[in-house]
Amino acid sequence: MSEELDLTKLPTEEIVLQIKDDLYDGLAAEVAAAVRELLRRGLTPYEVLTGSLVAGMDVVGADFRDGVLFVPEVLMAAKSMKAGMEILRPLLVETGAPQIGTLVIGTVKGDIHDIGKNLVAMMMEGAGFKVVNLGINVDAEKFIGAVKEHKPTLFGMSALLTTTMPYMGVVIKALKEAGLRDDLIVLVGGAPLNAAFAEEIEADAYCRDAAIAVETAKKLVALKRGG
Amino acid sequence: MGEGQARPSTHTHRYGTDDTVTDKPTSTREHQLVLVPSGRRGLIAEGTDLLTACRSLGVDLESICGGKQTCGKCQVVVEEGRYEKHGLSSAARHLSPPEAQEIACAAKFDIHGRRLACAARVQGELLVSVPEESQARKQVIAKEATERTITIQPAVRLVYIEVTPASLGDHRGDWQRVVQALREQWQIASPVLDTAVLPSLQPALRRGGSTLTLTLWDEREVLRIEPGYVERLVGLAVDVGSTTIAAHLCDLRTGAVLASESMMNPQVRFGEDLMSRVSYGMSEPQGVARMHRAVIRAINELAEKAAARAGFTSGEIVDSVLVGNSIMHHLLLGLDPVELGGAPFALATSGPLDVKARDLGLAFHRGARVHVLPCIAGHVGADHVAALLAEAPHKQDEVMLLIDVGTNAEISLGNRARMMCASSPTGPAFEGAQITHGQRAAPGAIERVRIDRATLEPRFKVIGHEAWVEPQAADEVPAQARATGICGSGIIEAVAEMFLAGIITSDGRFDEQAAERSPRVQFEGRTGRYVLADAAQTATGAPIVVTQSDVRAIQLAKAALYAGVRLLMEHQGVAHVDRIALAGAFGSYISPRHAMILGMIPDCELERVQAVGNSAGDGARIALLDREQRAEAERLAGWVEHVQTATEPTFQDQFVAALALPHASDAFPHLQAELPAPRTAARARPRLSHTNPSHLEIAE
Repeated sequence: MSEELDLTKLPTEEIVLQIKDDLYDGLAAEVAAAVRELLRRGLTPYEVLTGSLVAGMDVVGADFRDGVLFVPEVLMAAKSMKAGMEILRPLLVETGAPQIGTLVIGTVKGDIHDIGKNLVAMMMEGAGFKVVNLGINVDAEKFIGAVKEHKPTLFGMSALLTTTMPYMGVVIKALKEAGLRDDLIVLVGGAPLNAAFAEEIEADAYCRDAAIAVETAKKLVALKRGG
Repeated sequence: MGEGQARPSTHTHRYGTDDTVTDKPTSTREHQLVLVPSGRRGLIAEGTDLLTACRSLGVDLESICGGKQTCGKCQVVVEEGRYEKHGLSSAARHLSPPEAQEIACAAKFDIHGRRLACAARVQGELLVSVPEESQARKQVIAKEATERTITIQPAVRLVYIEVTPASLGDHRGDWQRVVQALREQWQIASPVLDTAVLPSLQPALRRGGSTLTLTLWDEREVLRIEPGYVERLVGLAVDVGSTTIAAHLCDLRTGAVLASESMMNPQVRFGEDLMSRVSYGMSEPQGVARMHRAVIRAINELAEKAAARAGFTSGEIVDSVLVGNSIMHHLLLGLDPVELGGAPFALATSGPLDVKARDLGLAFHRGARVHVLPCIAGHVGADHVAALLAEAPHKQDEVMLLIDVGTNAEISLGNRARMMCASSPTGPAFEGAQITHGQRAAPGAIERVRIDRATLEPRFKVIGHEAWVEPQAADEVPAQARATGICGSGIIEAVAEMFLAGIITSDGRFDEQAAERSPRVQFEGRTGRYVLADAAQTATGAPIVVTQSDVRAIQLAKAALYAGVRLLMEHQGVAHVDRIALAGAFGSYISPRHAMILGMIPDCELERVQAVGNSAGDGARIALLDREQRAEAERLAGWVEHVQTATEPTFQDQFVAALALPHASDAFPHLQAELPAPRTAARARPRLSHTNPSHLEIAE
């Protein structure tokens, strides 16, 4: 779709719109080129991140939530986001831009379902969070080690089996015992879960899908910073 | 006949006079004997009985009485005349004439023109026909429309013995006299007794006048003792599915299915799907015991019903084969399936089991046996091993794909050279769960769907009503044709037809342009839905629709299945499959064409995609009737390679590519003529770059 555009001739606000389009369509090279162009025009890395990439991924997230976009499209969008982020990340560090936050995420012990959790990880990256993905079959010890190492704001657990979801409660208990729980926003998700279960194990929120995970994460992070 | 005693080598062509059988040949003359239809031939010493002679030529005849001229099973026909082809002249007088007992037996069983092989002795050259019913190890067709045959050689058989009566001078116990009789009359060297049936020995001897029919398991264990001569021998093959339990009562002498019964698995009340049953066992202290008792009670009930229908009692069942997925397998045996609830999904045992029915609480005969087929892996259980036995891909050169579709799809792929299996977490969408108007396959459920590609008008079939419902027809829809929901086969056809009609695009999205073609395609915001049945055609009085999220649920389920298949193909290095067998109840109802259009299954010649019915049940029956197939099952379970799909590095990519209809990259040449042209340009979203961003909210 992307007819050859000469970015240098477009007004800045049109380039911003173009990035959002290209993210939606999963065009990684085009996203990267537009990010470079915006930086060349003097926008700060933080402005490019929030005003173009994160805003563009918001649109993707909303359409995913509504079923208009599906996993393959979202993955393509997330990959394009990543292409843009690779340019921005070193600059963000350099310029001391405010951190949006870090997420430590994994599928709990006994469970080897990977894909849904990976989708959440990518959507969260798309929203600007730094994501530490611990993979599948993760036990409490490994979760706690990662929390100590990365000091995340957000902590996510996934389980696809009714038999493995109780382990989330075990992890939360272990976090409490290690004195780490109170510093974290704990999000849980997976097909057999619901809000009542999340409440029972004292997680902060249950997220039905990746799009809702991003919305919830943003909301709770804002609340926490505000408080 | 006793294939357990001195099993003859098929290459033996001469029967020596010094053998241990009871006949006493009076001369060393030998005669040519030819058997048809087997074509076996050889020289037989004069005076040898035909039963022994046939066996020496490698043709086992059925015999329960062991040559006592009482059971009438070993009937043969002497062909009269000169047979140039065989170079002999055959005549009835080349056999010893019938004596009193044979004449009596022939009268009792109404045998005309036949001889009892055990009574007739060879006196000249002979051409003998062995009728099919007289052959031991008969063959039966495993099921219609297949060439799979079952050899009838069950693990139990009946042996008739005459026991030396007790006397004052003989201080031995009656069992010891039985052992002697078994040794002398059946050459069974060291029989063992199931002591639970010992109490029936002396009453049986009294009633039978020192004659008994014993039920012998594995050529060694006496598990039933009956007075006199008996020929009733039945067993039960059971497939314990997580939803349905099916039982087949079989005549173990003929292989015939005498009665089949099925019922809902009562464990459903403890948890709809497998994992919730495992959870129930984890959270309820008595949960495992409760679920175990429930399934055992159900099998007892089925056994009782099936036996009654066939004129038996469940107490007459002496052997049984049980199969089920690994969690059903554990619960059946009273084992806690907790380890199967999470990785690494360890089975308590993957091997086959031989147990006493009574130890499981099964109300069969006191001495009855149960054989449980082996499992392959935590998610590929005995039911899949049974399905493999029934479909036998390992005996073919063609590459066959065997899929048992359920909440978990079990998949096997390969041929005689190599077989691999995997399980794919398809979830319950194919069973109608997670679907807006989904329901189980029951009366009222829409099971077939066709959509006109031009008008987008549907037609459908409802379970319980013969005719197709034409929604646009003016006539009132009869009450039993009013739909209550959509079952698994219905949602598969609906989504496939929607794709063919252009209502959804190959990425699964509702196409806004379709809304202009029909009022049945509706949008709420930017999310589409299709009205399959108007309110007037439903039992609920509300329309039945297929929503965007229903399409997504089907995409997820079918992608999981396809990705599993594709991984096995990758591991095997095959680019296409020759044959696809869809097993399980659900496999029988789905349309192969629609399954392929969706990309549930890989491309294949459509005629070579077949529903094979309850293969697990068939496999259980095969193992019940042919004990060698139990050994074969054990070999198979060890030989088939298991692939853990979820942890394969390429699984995620395969899964994502398989979400598209029918697939993002794999070709489906057999559907070429049918599939809509790819419409890559049909991106439905509003362009941002040249419009106001607020237009994001616009719809249709």
